[in-house]
Amino acid sequence: MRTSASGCQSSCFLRKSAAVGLLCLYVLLSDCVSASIRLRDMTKQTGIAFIHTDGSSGKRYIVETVSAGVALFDYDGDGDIDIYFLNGAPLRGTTVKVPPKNALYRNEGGWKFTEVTDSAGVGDAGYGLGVAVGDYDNDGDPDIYLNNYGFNLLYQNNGDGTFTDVTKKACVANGRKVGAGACFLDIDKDGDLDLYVANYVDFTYENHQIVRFNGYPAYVGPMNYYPTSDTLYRNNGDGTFSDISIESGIAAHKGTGMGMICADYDNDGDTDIFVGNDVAGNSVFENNGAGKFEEVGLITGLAYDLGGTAQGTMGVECGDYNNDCLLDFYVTSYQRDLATLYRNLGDGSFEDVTRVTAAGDGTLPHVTWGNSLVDFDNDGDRDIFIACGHLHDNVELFDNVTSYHVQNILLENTGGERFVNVSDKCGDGLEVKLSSRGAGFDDLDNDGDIDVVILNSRWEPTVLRNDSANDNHWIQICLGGVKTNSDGIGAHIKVTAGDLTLLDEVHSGRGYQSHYGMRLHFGLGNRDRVDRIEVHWIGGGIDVFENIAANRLLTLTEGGSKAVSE
Amino acid sequence: MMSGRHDEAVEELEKQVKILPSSDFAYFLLGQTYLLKEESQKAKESYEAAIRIRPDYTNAYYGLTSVCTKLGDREKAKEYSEIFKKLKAEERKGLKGRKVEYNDFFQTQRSAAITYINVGRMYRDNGKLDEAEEQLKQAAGLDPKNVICFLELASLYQAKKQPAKALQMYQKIRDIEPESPISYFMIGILSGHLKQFDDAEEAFGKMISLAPRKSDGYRELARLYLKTGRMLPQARQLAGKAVTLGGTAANYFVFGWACYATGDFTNARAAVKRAVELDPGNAQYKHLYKQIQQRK
Repeated sequence: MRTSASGCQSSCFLRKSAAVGLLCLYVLLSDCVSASIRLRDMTKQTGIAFIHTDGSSGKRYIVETVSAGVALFDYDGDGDIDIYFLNGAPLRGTTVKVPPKNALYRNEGGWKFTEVTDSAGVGDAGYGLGVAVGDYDNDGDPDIYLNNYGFNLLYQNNGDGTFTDVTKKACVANGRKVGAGACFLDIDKDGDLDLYVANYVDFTYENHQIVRFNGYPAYVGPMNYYPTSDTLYRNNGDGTFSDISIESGIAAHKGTGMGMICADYDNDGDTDIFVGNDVAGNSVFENNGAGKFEEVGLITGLAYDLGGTAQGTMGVECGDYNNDCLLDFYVTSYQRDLATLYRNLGDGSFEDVTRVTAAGDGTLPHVTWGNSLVDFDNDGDRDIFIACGHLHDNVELFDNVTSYHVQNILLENTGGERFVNVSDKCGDGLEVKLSSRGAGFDDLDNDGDIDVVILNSRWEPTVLRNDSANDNHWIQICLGGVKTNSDGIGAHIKVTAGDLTLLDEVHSGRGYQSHYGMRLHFGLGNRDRVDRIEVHWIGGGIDVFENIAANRLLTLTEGGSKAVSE
Repeated sequence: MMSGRHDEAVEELEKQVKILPSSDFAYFLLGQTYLLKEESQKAKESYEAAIRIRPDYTNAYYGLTSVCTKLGDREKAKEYSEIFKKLKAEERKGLKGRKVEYNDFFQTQRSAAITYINVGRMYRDNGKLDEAEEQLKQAAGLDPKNVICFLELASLYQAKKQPAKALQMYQKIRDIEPESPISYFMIGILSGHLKQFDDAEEAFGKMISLAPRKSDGYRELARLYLKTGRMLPQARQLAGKAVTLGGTAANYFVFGWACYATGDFTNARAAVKRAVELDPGNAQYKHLYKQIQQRK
């Protein structure tokens, strides 16, 4: 009996010790997590005075809820990433003294931004929804395409800090539709950028509807309108585009398009298209290599979530979250859906791994919009940022689990298997509570980590500086296409540093109706050299660059043998 | 399942389908869990079981499409995906043009109310009547049309000897279900107890009109008249009707009492004797029977 009691005490002691040990480990790990990513709210210091308007006057037109995206790109080629905010416009019944317009802010360095909208000539006063940036005329500078409610617009970059509206000449106005995301891509590998334009629903002022929840007026969802087909324009190489929606196979599929991305998910050397649909199966158009598309959403497993339910998809992002050199997808969604992570199985199909990876943690009560798969702490795996905010501005009146203004969410990747919600542990940048929509992710201060710009509905934007303190290394890569499009859009880049191999692709248009990240960013952890960079250009060419020091921005030119450090 | 504890989920779901083999949803969840566990064959069997129970279970066909693809059975995957697409299209037809977006807010409130009621019952069963009352009030706030909740509250107030509050609960039930005789019955009883005789009379009258083939309304109205010493001939008539509709001890007793009050001792004796025979333990019946016997 004594032995037994003693054994029990010993066992209890061991259990207690183990519990204390686990507690210490937990505290240690929690501290690690809390210290790993720091995002500081820099909005007030930036000098950005932009305020988003949705053009509303209480009539609750559906388009008010889905505005708008943001674009991050270096419009003037000075090496700094600039910011272009889309804006709404007065809808029927709304009167304004000064019409709102889109706004371009030049990055002056040191977290100061100057508005250059008027001098650059990009102050479109149309109802902004989606944006994509790409050098459609291959003249070496980025052009802007705006997907509006109403006529769309193409701004050609003149190369001197100004733009010209070339919509009419280019034939890309796309009629009076409700726009959504847009992407430049090279569908037929002919070296110039074609243009995919997603459309939302057939809303007009005449078929406008509202609903009441618990007696309170509310916006209707997309199911109250007919879905529409999207538009695909082929670049004719002479400054004009042709609508090839029908012959390409795109027009055969109607949807309720929202955010989108173009990506070669099946690694067959051509760019495919993923359009998120709102309360309908997502559309995935597989490219046959010559610009003809087959819709394969269902068979790829990307149309619906794990249970076969169509989500209210908002933003669509692409990246290799588990470093298996396959492009995965991450989509944001409506309240009561988890934002969803689809793992690429490498055989043309995907699996919803949201629950097993906790990649949707914290998203269930919220409507989620802009998103990213970005390595914020340069530890070699991609984290997830999710912009949140309800679309009903009065949701608190009839739903006590969510709000119009809420915190955004940051999920830290803990090694490719699981994500941890660190939203409350990563600085004041995630304390902001607004109703976010589009979001962009780029290195705004050229310090080797990724910062964040968020467009907030009816409010000022939020600009977050990445202050993560660590000794991790990184490398950033700009591509210079020669035979292919000048930005290398559609190219795959594989970076190998010791035991780590990372994959990324150059995208134009992504997330929630936004554009960012054409300068590719790779976190390298403790590896201070890159052994090898492989660039698979969209036309099939492969360039290899070897033995490169970390912590620099490189420009890799197609057909070149040397990486040029900026 | 959602927290990644797949083995435990399978264990529970296997139990569930044994207890309730007609649960299509349990089979579907089992399929989902096996899919997550990468046990494709078992997942397939579970989804197939779900569609045997519910042949139009759209999401189960999606599961079958996924699992057949994993198993390399492309023919079957295609077949199931076609059915899935067809069913999805049907669902969308139903949704198209609808004027009201799906809103489960009220359903959630109703579900939460049931949870509060069950918690209230647990407190009550443990003798914690105040705590039970709080829980039931929460339920009533969430679902103001839940009759069960007001019945529980009424029963609780009766246990707490608060007839006025119990009466209020039955009045709420009456407002929710104005055609249900039971609330009028209890309103009558409790109003009588509170000496609100006019209200009691009205309630029993309403009960008789709503349930003319049930004896209770007639009997209790008769009893009310007897207690208040008025309308004695009507009381006898009502009690007689009650006995005609149901030969219960209570009915015989009230009829006997009415006969006695109107001077018909013969029938009074016979009726109360019958009541005592039917319910020999009832002291009230015995007392009246003794009184009638002494009168002889």
